[in-house]
Amino acid sequence: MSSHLLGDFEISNFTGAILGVVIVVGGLLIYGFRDLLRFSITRAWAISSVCWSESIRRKVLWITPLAIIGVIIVAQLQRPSDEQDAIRQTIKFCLFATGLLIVITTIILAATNLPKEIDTRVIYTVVTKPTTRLEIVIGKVLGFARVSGAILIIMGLFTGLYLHLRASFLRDDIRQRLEAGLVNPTDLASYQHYKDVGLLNAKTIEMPKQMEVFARVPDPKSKVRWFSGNSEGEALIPFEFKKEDFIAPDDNQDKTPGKTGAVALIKIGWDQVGPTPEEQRAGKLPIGIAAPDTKPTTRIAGKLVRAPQVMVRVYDTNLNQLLPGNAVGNGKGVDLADPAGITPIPVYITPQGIQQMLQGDRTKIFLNIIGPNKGYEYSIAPDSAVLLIPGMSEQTQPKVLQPAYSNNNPLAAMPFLRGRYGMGGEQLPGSSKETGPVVVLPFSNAAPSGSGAQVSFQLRAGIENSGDEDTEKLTQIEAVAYNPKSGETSSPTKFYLEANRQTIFQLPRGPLADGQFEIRLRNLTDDHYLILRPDSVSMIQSMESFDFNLLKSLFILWLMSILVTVIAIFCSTWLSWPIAIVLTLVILLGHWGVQQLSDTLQPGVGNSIAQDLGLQDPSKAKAFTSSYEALSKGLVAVSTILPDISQFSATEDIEKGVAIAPQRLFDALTVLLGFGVPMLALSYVFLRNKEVAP
Amino acid sequence: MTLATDSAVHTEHLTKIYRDFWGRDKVRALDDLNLTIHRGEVFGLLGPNGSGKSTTIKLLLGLIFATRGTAHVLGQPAGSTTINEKIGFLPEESYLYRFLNGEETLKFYGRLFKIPSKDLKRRVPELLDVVGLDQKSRKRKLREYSKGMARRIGLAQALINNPDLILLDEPTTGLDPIGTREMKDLILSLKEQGKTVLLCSHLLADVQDVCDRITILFRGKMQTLGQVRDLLQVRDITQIQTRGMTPQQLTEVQEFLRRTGVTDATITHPTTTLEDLFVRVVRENTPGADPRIAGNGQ
Amino acid sequence: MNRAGRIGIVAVLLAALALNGVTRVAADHMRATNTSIPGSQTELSQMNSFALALLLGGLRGPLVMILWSSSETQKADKDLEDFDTKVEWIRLLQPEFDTVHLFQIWNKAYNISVQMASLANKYTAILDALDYAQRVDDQRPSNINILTAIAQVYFDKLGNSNEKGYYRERIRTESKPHELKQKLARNDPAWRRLEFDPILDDKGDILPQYLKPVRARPSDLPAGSDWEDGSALQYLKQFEPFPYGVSPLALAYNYHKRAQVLQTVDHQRHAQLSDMVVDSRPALDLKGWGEEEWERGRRAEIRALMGPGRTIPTERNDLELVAADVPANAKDLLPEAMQEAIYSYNRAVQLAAASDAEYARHIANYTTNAFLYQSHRDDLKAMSFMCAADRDFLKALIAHTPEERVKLFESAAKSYADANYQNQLILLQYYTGDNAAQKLFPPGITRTNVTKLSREQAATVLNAVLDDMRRTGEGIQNQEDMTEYMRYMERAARRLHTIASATTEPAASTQSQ
Repeated sequence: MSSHLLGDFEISNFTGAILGVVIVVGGLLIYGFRDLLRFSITRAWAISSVCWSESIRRKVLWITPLAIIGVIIVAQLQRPSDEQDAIRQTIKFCLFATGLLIVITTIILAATNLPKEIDTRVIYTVVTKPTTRLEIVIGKVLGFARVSGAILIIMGLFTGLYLHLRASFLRDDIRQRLEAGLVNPTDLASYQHYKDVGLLNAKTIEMPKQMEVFARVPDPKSKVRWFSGNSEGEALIPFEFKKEDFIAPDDNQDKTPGKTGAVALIKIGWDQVGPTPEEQRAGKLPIGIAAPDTKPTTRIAGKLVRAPQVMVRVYDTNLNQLLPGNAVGNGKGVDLADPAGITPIPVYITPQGIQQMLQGDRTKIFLNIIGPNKGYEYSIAPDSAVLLIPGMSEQTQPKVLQPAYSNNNPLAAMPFLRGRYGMGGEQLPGSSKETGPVVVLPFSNAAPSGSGAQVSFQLRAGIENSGDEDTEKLTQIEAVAYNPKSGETSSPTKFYLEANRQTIFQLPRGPLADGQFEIRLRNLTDDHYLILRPDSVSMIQSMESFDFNLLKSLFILWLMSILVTVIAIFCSTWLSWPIAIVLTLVILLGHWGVQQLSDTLQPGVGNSIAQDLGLQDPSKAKAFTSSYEALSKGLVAVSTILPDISQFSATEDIEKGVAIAPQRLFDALTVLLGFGVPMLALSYVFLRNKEVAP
Repeated sequence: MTLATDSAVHTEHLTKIYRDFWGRDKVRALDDLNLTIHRGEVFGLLGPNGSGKSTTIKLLLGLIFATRGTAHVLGQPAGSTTINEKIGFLPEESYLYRFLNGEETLKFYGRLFKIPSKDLKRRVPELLDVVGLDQKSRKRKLREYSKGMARRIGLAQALINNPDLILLDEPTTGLDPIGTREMKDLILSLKEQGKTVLLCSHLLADVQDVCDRITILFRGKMQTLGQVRDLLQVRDITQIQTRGMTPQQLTEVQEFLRRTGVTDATITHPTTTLEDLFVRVVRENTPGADPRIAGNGQ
Repeated sequence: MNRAGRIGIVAVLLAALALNGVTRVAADHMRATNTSIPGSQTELSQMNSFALALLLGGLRGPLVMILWSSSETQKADKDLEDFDTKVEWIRLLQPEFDTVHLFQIWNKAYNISVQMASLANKYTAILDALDYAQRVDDQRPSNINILTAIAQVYFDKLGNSNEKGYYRERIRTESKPHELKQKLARNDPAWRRLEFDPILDDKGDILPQYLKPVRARPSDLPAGSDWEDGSALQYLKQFEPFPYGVSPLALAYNYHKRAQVLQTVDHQRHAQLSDMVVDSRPALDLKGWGEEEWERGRRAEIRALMGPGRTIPTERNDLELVAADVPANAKDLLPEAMQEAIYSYNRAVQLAAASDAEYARHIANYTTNAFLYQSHRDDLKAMSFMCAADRDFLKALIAHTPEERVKLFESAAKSYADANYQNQLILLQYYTGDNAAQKLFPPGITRTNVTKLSREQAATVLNAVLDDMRRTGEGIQNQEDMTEYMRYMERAARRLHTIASATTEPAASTQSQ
């Protein structure tokens, strides 16, 4: 059960479920036990048939042609970025119109039905029959569910037909453009895919487990990993601890943790792979003029090379810098004299830094190692870092804290390497050389279905470049699949990429067959940076029918319409119909609305608003702040018992061409049952206690 | 066996007070009604407008809830869903679904009683015949019905389940004299079938013709209760009716009365009712109709 | 209600709708004939702003808010799918707000295009912005704000951004007749702009539809006065033909000129820019265009004279001396490149004159800008001389007769000399430090009246100034800018040397006859 947390007010869905069960049990089983025993589906269905007949004879379904015309008109106003986007937008319009139509229709029908029957006294002839209030309520829910179902069938048929027509037309256009060679190189790979499988599909997507950026392709036989210099790569080493771990081993007095600070003992190797900036500058200076020499040098194979540095920092579990620079290594870089990375180098963490690290019951941090020097690559291994807690006296052996690698997860048994983190993701620098930085995305339990020779993948990434290019220089990507178990590596696939636009590429099935594989991407374009996140790459594991996906989407909409019906009927049992409509909308949108306001409902916001308003008087400011906080808490409290309509996500997946997972249906059903059934029970209780003949 | 369980309807201190939003008494619609209706009788509930007749009906049917007192219908507390199986109710107006036609209406209500489809198929046309709705009217939507047709279909839905207790609220309102006559005949036939009828009306002539007992409500209180015949009898006047007296016989009767000291006797020919006259005229002129008219004892 | 009644009501509603459409068309027609106020043009046959506004009623406001918020969020998240659709909806829902359109044109041309990595996609994003502007222009014709926005996209983005080389070439190529890449019909919802529409015919003249006047000239307008007639490319007609396509800077000039005339004659006011800025733009655009033609001439010249295998430098300053030493009897000249170079130089001369005339007009209206733009006019003069010289030099190389060759060489020599003189004056006036001027200028000569120096004097004084600069370092911060003029003068000097040693025989031959 997920927990819903806003500010200090914490109520779990579990508690909400308990509340619902109490209402259901209390209302139905205890209060209406007899009616529950007497319940007859025949009577309920008869009542539902009347609701259905009324809606049909009042020509409610005639609204669907209007909606269809509206969708067609709106679809003409779209300006898509490509053919797939055209289909995506059309799906969005169709489903949005459908959803809006059934919600509005259902609210109006359901909220007005009972009050109208009471006003016109038609209800006399119904309640004086052996019909329980429960049957009346359920009958009406069933009746309007039938109406919304009919609307959904009509709109669904239109949506399916219209989309198939559009998709077929656009696919023809794609085919022609491919044959005529009129496709941008950045779109070529995707267009080939669309030509083969069409524009209407429902993909099942598999995501990678994580993403790492390496300076070199990892060697399976070695535990050493390489990350790029020039701050383009970094390593993260996890440490878990308790406060007591940082008590100096020989401290027998106050045993304050962190009194002696800590020492990170690191072993980082390096390799010079390109000219350093100094060497580049030196190359441009007139002969006889030497570049300034400030770095330590070392001799390797008789050649004098300048040793690089690393910066060591401490990160929290969100990978944000935790300690200020001067708390770790005095804020300075650490010289690496040993390219083999065998000689450990100490980096001191101050006692104040340790104190800050231990605040808030923290038990995990990451040691971050980054190489700022251009022209270098750095190596790291599982044993590259330990934390030492020194004794109070120099003679005392320090305590040793080993990295907290996971023993169960082979992916987490190493330092974690990532690229430079910027806006939108991690950077993968481009290199046209044979070897260069690579991003590795491991997949597990992701065996592709089907039997074709190729498996499709999706890539969506940002691209950064200097912006000074006057001639077209497309970003080329090379993708390779690797199976760590069999050692099989696929032939590379090369394709061009546009920034923030999805590209589909294909890899041979061979290494992917058992579902445990890595996708390795390289950026082959110099001076271009690929911006990636773990969800930038996904595998299209299987394709199911779009029509079936559409059916699922419509089913979710139908479940939502039933929820709307239940809420509207509940409101109408004790309110007049205009107020019932308004309250229905408030209940439907309340949870979503509070979520939109979530930032403004956090603790402390009241205070800052009071400051913005210029409330100088402390008592006024306090009164305002406490009122604001109370209002926020109240809103949050109310929203936790309101239905979360975001669980009825009928459109997000299908728009993206992703198969709607059974989980989504289950989520929708859970909300409907979890909220709808108690509301149904309450409707029954209210109606039972209502005098229908005032 | 108590009165509550034995009678068709039994109320004790039944009171209904309408309150405002703040809970203050606004209207005392029914005040301490103690009433017992026996099974098999036709009972009339009379009173002027606002006397509490409809309130009583609504309380018995569970449409509203009593403020004080109890009410039992066919041995069960009033408003019980179970007892609705045996009750038929004809409301004051046609409170039916106007978008359904006659047949659909009856089928709907029949399904509420879980009458099997096969039986419904037979019963619906029968009932429509009983209430006098022709074939064409059955297919028309209720919103197109005249007042009389609406009352007929209303009556049909009240009888769909062959109830033991039928509550009729102003059954003859809007009916023409023939319709009224037919309604009264129907009520009597229901009585002959052993059903209990609770009739609520302010058309006194109609009540007088069919009811066994009546009560008169006024301002929520019961004013009087008893057999119609008894309540209407003028005990100090004797009426003798006979057919085919000759003038000579008439003179002898007058002479006899004078001799025996009866001085204020009035000898006239009795009059029929305007209703009877109307019905006779219509029926006489309707081919195939029974020219005999039952009514007023003739 | 009975059937007949319902049919009657529906018939009345339809008739009312049709009458509404007729009334609106009539009103629009009446408004359009009133030339002083640019109005919206709508048609009942299309789903347009008016119909949308009717349909949405009071929901238009909230929908617009949602669209703005959503589109800006998408832009920040770099999620551009259906972004264009939302912008289009905003345009339809807020048709009357020029600032909305100005923002969206700028938004698409700058913020969205910069998110693309591929130049081709950046290019199409900018063209999308122009499409948007065009659609607004169709609805609100002859509107100074929209015309200026279009011009700015052409000038700043397509004409002068970092990627200008790519954009300029594509606009020129695609402005000529060519087979369209986009095969979908224009009104297909999936239609996307992939290229610039052709605006020239086979002869290089502007297609008639772009020159069709829309606004009738008022009869009371003075004879010589300018009038913006509403045709799309009114002010490019005078520069026909365009055998090498139309430059984006030319298009910028055209739209800026239209805006300037609307400001001057129709008294329209730009929502954000001052009158002075709007008035100055045509001159600046022509200058930029002229400089572009000059650069094109250089590149074509290098191709023509040095052969197709020669790498052409990307930087403008590096182009000056590559072909400066080509001999007068150079052989194997590429004829097409020669023609293109001659054309470009000639065009540059033409544009320099046109630009100077625009500067003169602007300064006549805004005398305070005389000093500001004098340096521009001086540059134009130098450019004009230089380009005329280069043009004549190249013509001389392919002259058919010795007499013609001699005449052209003489003309080129004169122009080179004039160019040198002009460049010297520029350096003396704008790049000489105060101390150096005081020290080294002849008596009575200051930086403001250096034109009084003779050619010999100018050369002598300049040399002294340069020596002084090297010695003392005064004015060294201008060295890079001065280098540009030095190179012009170096080129001219080399050409003069070449001309001086030229023979009279027509020795040039082209690669293919």
